[in-house]
Amino acid sequence: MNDLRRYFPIFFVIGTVAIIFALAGFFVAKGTQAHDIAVIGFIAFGSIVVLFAAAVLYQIGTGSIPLTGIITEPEDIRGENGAPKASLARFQFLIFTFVVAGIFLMLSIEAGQMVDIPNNVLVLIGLSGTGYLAGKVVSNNGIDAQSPETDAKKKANIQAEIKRKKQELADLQQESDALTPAEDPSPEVGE
Amino acid sequence: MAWLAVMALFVISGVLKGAIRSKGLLGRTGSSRPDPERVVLLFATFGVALHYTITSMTLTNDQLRMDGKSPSMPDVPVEILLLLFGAQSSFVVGKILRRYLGGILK
Repeated sequence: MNDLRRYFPIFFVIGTVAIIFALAGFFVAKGTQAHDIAVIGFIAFGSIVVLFAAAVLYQIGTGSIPLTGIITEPEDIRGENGAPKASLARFQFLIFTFVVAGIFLMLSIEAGQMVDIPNNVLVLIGLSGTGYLAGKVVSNNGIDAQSPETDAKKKANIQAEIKRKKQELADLQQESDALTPAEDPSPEVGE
Repeated sequence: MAWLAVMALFVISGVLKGAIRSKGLLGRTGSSRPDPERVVLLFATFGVALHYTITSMTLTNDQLRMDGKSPSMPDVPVEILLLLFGAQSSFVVGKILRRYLGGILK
C-alpha cells in the first residue's frame, strides 16, 4: 500500500502522457488534418497546464503548500508578540495581482483573444512592486543597524519565541496525552 | 479564472480563520498601534482596486475594442496613479523616518 502511494505520482504522469499519446494516435489514425492536429495539441498542452494548476490548488487545499506566510514579513522580522508580522506591501501586491490577472482573464474570454495591457496598468503594478522593494530595503537596513534598542527588541523577540515554543510544546504534549492511552513502558521484574 | 477564484477563496478564508497571519498589517514592527500612513495606503489600495474592477465590469464591447483596434484592458487614469503614488510615498517616507528618526514620529 505504501509502495503504491509512493509511486502514485510516477504512475499518474505516465498514465496522463499515455492517454495524451493514445488520443493523438487515435485522431491521426482517423485521418485528421494538420489543423485538427494543432487543435488536439492545444488541448493536450492546455490539459497539462490545467493539471499543473489543479495539482498546486490540491496541495494548497490539503495544506501541503501552506499559505500562512503569504502576506507576512520574513522570519527575521517579528511582530509585537514574537510571531511573524503581516506586510502591507505584500498584501497590496497580492490584491493588485488578483485584480489585474482576474480582469485580464475575464476580458480576454469576453473578447475571444488576448487583450492588450495599457502602460498605466503596468505602472500600477510597478508602483506596488517598487513600494515593496523600498520598504524591504529600509527594513533590512534597520535590522542590520546595531543599537541598544535593536538588541532589546531582539532579546524581547527571542523571549517571546521561547514562550511561544513552550506553549506549542505544552499543546503537543496535551494532544499526545489525549491520543495514546497511558501505558507502563517497563514491565515489572518477575512477570 | 476558476483557479484564480478558488485561490482567492483560500486566501480570504485563511485570513478570516486566522490561518494566514494578518496581525501587524497596520502597525510597524514592535508596535501594536496603527500608523496613519499605513491606514492611508490600505484605503488607497482598496480604492484603486475597486475603482479598476468597477471600470472593467462596466466596460461596453465598443470600449473594449477601442474603435476597431485590438481589444485592450481599460486604462488607469493618471489621477488614480498619482493617488496611489502619494500613498505609497507616504508609506515609504514614514517607514524611513520611523526607522532612522524614530523620536520625531513616536
